[in-house]
Amino acid sequence: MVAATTLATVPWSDGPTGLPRRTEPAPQGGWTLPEDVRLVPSPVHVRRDAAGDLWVTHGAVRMVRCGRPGHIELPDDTGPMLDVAVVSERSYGLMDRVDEGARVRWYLDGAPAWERVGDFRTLLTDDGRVWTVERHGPAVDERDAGTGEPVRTVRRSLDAGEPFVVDGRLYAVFTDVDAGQRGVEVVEPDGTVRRSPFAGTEPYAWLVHPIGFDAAGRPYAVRDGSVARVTADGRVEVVGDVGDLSPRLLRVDPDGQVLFVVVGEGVAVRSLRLGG
Amino acid sequence: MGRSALTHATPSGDRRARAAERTTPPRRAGTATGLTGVLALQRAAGNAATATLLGRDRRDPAVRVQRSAIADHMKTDPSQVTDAQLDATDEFKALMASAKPPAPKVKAEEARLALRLLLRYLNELAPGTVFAPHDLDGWLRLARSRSAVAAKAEGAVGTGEWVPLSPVDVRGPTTSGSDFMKWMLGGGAVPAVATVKGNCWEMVMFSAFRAGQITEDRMREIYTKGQAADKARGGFAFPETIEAELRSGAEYVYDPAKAGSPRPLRGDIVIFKTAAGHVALATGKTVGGEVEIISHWGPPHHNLKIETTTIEELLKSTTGPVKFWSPRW
Repeated sequence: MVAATTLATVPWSDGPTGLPRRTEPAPQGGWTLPEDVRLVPSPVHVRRDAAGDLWVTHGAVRMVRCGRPGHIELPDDTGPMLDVAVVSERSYGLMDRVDEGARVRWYLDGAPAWERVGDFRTLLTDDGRVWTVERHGPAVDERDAGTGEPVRTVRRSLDAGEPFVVDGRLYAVFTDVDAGQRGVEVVEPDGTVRRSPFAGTEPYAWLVHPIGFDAAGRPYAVRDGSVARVTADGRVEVVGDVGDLSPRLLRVDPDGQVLFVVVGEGVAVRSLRLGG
Repeated sequence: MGRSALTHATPSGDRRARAAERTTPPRRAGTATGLTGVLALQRAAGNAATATLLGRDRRDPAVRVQRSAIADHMKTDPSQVTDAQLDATDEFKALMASAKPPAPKVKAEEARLALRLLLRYLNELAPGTVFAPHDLDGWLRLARSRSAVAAKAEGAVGTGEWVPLSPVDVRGPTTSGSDFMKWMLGGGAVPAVATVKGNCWEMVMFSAFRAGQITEDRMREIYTKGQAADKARGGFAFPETIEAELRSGAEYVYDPAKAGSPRPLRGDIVIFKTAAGHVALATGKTVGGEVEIISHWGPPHHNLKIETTTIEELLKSTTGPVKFWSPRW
């Protein structure tokens, strides 16, 4: 088993090198007893920019670069953060919730470039290119980073799950419920769709959220604190352990490095690098 | 060999249900000639044509049609029976041929839901129970009423405002943050659809009310019963009462990690662990390989309005098990 290492720690701080400590109510159910109301740390997003630097934010006040000084101030009117994408300190995107839906704001040279509100699921970026993914439909729009206008629209299959971009291709795990099968769908930039189903129940059991993809198009997943990846022939390789991980915080780098965040006396970005 | 109980498969609660026990011989599963299919054919094409077809069918194997019956899929969860398998059944064909103007045309998805509900009912019968020809019209009515509730919830997406409930609301309903609670127990008016404040199960109940499937009196009866339970036991007595009162039939568990797991049908009530956790309404669709629901809560998108989401998305913010069942309105 591979052990996780700490890549960087961001302190709780109101200063520009840290994140201000933030909590939010734990999701309450439809029925809440007073003794059940509690506050939990706000979830932290971690992203890697085009230069390989790591950025973290919990959606309030700022994003902070790990390892060397740098931060991005978030607008005062930022709503609950749904997604972020970072190309550089001066080029980045924020997706937050507003009354009308999901709002994407893209920044170039540190200034607002464009804004769209719509039915967006995620905001993706790769080498300066920008994609918005429809939440209740199959469309993925590649947008002009300067204007926000769609330059190309591709359609994913209706059974394809959360998308990831690797080298300009869109990867997702698909679920064929009738066949009881999961697999990987790749959408090429020209819209060509390739699907590779995995046989057996083990990949099916593993490939539920949270997942990620490496540059070889292999999906990674976390289950009960263990990390595994699924090979092209459908073998599940259980290779590491992330402990008590909040499941929405997993990221996978193209080189297969699994990133996750541990919140305690600061925000620690931890890494699990798998062999092969 | 002892005699089996013989049940006429009629939706529970259907006022037009005939006697539950019949003495006619049960139809053997998978027989070549389905009675319901023949009846539908008679209605559609007339006696002469039916007699001719059946006669030819007996004389000429070349024109014999491969037939299938819903009973062929017994012991399979209805969500796991594909549309194509359902479309091949005699019962599906009978349903699709059953409506004559001015009755509204039967839509394929309505017929499929009717047959899935029938199959769930048959699967829930006690072992050894056999059944007579099914009241397909009754199952179609049930499918349409369930679909109407789901459609009301779908139509409310983007409206409302979620508020949590607690014992404070039940004990002081006139000052509750929930418009629905005020309406039920606090002497308030019927809430406005666009702005109604309420919790997750109140959205589900309000959708059923707006679809004409549950009365205001019945809802108030449930809330009054819950109020009495809260007074007697406190804690989770109120949501436990809601859960019990809205439940009909067996409980199923959806496991996203398990291929072949039962999935909720359109109009099913879906809960996360208990009703006190979260309650949603199934649309009967899978989207992105995930099970779609209409939900009124904050998670997973920090959205306090009614929204379309999936069980899998909500499981990012809360825990299971995810249970579901047929509602009792």
